[in-house]
Amino acid sequence: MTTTDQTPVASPAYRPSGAKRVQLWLANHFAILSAILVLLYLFLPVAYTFAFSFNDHGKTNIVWQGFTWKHWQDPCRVAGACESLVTSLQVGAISTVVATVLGTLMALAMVRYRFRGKAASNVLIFVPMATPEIVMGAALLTIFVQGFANVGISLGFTTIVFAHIMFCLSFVVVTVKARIQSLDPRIEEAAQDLYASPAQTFWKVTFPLILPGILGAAMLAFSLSFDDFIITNFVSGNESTFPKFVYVASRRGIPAEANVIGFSMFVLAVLLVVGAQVVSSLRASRYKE
Amino acid sequence: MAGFKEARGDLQLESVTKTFGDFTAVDGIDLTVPRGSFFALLGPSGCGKTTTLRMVAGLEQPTAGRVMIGDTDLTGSRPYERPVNTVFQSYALFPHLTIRDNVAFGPKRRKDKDASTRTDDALELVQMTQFAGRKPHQLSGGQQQRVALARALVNHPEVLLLDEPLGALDLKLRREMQVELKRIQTEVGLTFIHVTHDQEEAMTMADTVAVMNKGHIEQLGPPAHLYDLPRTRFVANFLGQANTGVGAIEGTDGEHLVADVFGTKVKISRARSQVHDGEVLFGVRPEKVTVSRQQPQGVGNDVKGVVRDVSFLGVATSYLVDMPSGATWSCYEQNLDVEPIDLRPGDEVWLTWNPGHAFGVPVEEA
Amino acid sequence: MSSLAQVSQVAGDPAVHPTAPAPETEKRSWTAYLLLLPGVLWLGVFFILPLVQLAAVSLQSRFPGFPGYYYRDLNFENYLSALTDYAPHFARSFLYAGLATFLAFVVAYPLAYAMAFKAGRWRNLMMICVVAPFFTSFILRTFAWSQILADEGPVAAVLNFLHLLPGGHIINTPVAVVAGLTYNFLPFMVLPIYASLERADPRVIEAGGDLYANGFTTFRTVTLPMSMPGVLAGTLLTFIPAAGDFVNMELLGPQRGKMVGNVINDQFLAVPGGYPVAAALSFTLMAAILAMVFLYVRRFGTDELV
Repeated sequence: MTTTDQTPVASPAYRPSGAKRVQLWLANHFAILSAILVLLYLFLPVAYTFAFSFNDHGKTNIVWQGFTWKHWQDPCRVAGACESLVTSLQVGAISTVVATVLGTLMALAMVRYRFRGKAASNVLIFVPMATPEIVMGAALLTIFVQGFANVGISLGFTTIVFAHIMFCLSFVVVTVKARIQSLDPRIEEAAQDLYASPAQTFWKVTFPLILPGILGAAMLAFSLSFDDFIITNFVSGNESTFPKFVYVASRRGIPAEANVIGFSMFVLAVLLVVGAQVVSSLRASRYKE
Repeated sequence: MAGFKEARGDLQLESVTKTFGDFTAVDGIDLTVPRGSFFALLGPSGCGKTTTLRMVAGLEQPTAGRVMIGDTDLTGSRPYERPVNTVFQSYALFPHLTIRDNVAFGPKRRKDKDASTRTDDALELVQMTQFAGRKPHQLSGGQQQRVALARALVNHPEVLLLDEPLGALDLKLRREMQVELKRIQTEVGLTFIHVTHDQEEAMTMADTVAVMNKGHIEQLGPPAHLYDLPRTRFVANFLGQANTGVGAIEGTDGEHLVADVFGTKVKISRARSQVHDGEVLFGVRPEKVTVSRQQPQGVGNDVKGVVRDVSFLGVATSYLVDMPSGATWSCYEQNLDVEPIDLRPGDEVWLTWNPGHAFGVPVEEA
Repeated sequence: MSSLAQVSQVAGDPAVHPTAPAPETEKRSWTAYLLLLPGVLWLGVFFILPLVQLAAVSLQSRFPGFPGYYYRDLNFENYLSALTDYAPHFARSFLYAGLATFLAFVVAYPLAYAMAFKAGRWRNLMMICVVAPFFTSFILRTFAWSQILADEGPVAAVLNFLHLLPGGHIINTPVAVVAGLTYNFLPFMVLPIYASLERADPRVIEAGGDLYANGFTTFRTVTLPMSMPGVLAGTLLTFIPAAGDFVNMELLGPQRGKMVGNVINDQFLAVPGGYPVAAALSFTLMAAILAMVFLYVRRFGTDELV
């Protein structure tokens, strides 16, 4: 840092020209300006979805034709819209719970134990994330149709849940694993040192500390499941989830009611996330003087 | 609580060994720590001191040997079954619990009826009562340190282990906490075992210091003894500064051994040397060496050198002197005289010391 | 992908230790197998077993005269057909996915950089903004793009007004497909890059600025290499789903000149007797992608991935 002793001498005399100053300002704010542009780009389709939920459209909802509240007044008016939403929520809830429990157990085993076959388990957890959804969907379709159908499990709600748990599992393991790895092992040793049995150490110390990671994994799993279309399309048979309903409808024109439901889910999710953030920052500041 | 061992008495390690694969971290240590004493395990990083501590805590199990408190064998028992508590390096406070809940953690696990009052007393002892409702991350390093101490002390363990407890604090705070720890130890009267690599910290606080190196205890005793009469080369160099030279023992002169060091005859008190024939590494502490312009009369033990550097330190003046052997010696002279000897780099000086202050240790590193 | 996982955690949590833990805490026990068993069984039954079945199907032959019926065989002609008849589809898939990945990188990097170094207390809000659009259905957003890019929509209107649109259309062209792919997988690029930049020490970048002075040189020699693990994770997380996608092509793309995902989808769900060739196509796609991942893993180590 040889520059420090020279700066005081140089700075008062140096005044860049106007054009140069604009250039400097742009250079300094380039990252933040482009970030704002990218965020606007990310929100553009959401804004479109929102705007066209008020479109008084005819057969197709592509061109703006006039304002109406009617889609918001009864989004369930369109056959299948709300039924598919309920299915999606049910599938999401069940898959999230099962995948989170199984994934957390696996993550604990992967971080806390040494065992034969650990490298193989690592690969088994990783490969589903590196496999295109269409391949997983195709593979599941063949086994469900050619194998599971023989034992009385046909394509439908059950097979959707089976598939969703599978593709959520790896993401849960990776998320929870990162959280466990970042824990200071001395904190658990301290609990044992203070007379906590292994079970007490887990429930009083380890579990509360990895809980944010588990909740994050659960949120990730739910959003993956709720938004999945490609795999679901293969394994759902006659059952319809919300993304499938929208996709099928898109052939004839998506009704604005779908926009209402989609945008409401967006608002709900954002409120949940922001709410969680606010609660945690309130909790953190409560003890401050 | 099932399996809990209510042991009372001195802590004893009997030929305790711990190996990790091919690496021997602790190599057959025998040690007795009297009940109620402040004991320091001192050594460089990797010397096995923390592993020793963890075996006492039950966080590691020895590969061989026994860990006892009084007559109770604790070997093989789990950390939560031992009347031993630890103040961890970097404290390891529970981040999700308040300070009060951190301190109350131990008593609650033991279903102590007085958990609440004991927690209050412990917080009082470390002067943290007003912070009881906070979370650990809202405290400074020094405050976290006090909480970690209270969290261990509240259980009235038979032995309290401190793993580099002051390592994360700045110098001033460390000094304060040294005094504070000593006060608390005297007040509660428990056995404290303090692991540190800071020789000054060990010497200020402990009644007894054990210097460890490469899995062995090199020497054990009160700090003053270790400093005054080290028994190995490692201890001589690790604890304070030592001016050393290698010599060959040629004979005896009454109570003294006479050694030849680069042509100069040097006397070492026979009782203060670990070797009595062959090669010896003799040493003398800097403050025991006198610097003068003229050759002192009649004392013997004098060597001529050339001043390399002089630093005035206020209470003392420190000299670095190049010796004929090629070594550089360091000497402290207290500034008692109104007119100090005005030495400059390049001047020739005579160094001399009382043979009773020198020590002799084996040349080979243990 | 550990970087992706770390993003989902609350920043600044005191329980989280950035440095590697000192003591060895791993235990060796049967408990590990008990913990792993349910998850491994699940992956075995619903991932490995289906792939084995898919492999078997990819080698089956059609029963002559009975569309939709197959017999067990070792018919490698399915693969030959997959590679020759559908080579253009593979090429398009990898080309469009590659373009989308590159564009996503270009768009994502400044955003990730701003989040890591410039956002300050707005960081969490920006994170929510990156993830939030993805709570509206993937299909709805893609459909919104079909409106935005439609001939009657704003983009085509502006470009036509400026005479910058030679063909007159964006919708139903490969450009629209690449645009849709870029948009849909953008967060998978942003989050890992952000995670690796966030772990980097800004002082190192300042030191880079001090040594090289020029902003672009600092970026190229210091910032970019530090974020490389994130960039590569992001690249994979974008490329893999983009290469296998068919929805963007279906909603935004032309009638002819589809991607391999569309072929697999149609062969399985719309063409009677299409299973074996579709299975062979799936396997080829998976093999190509896994080969890429394998090279990546060999180059940068598994720890970065899982």
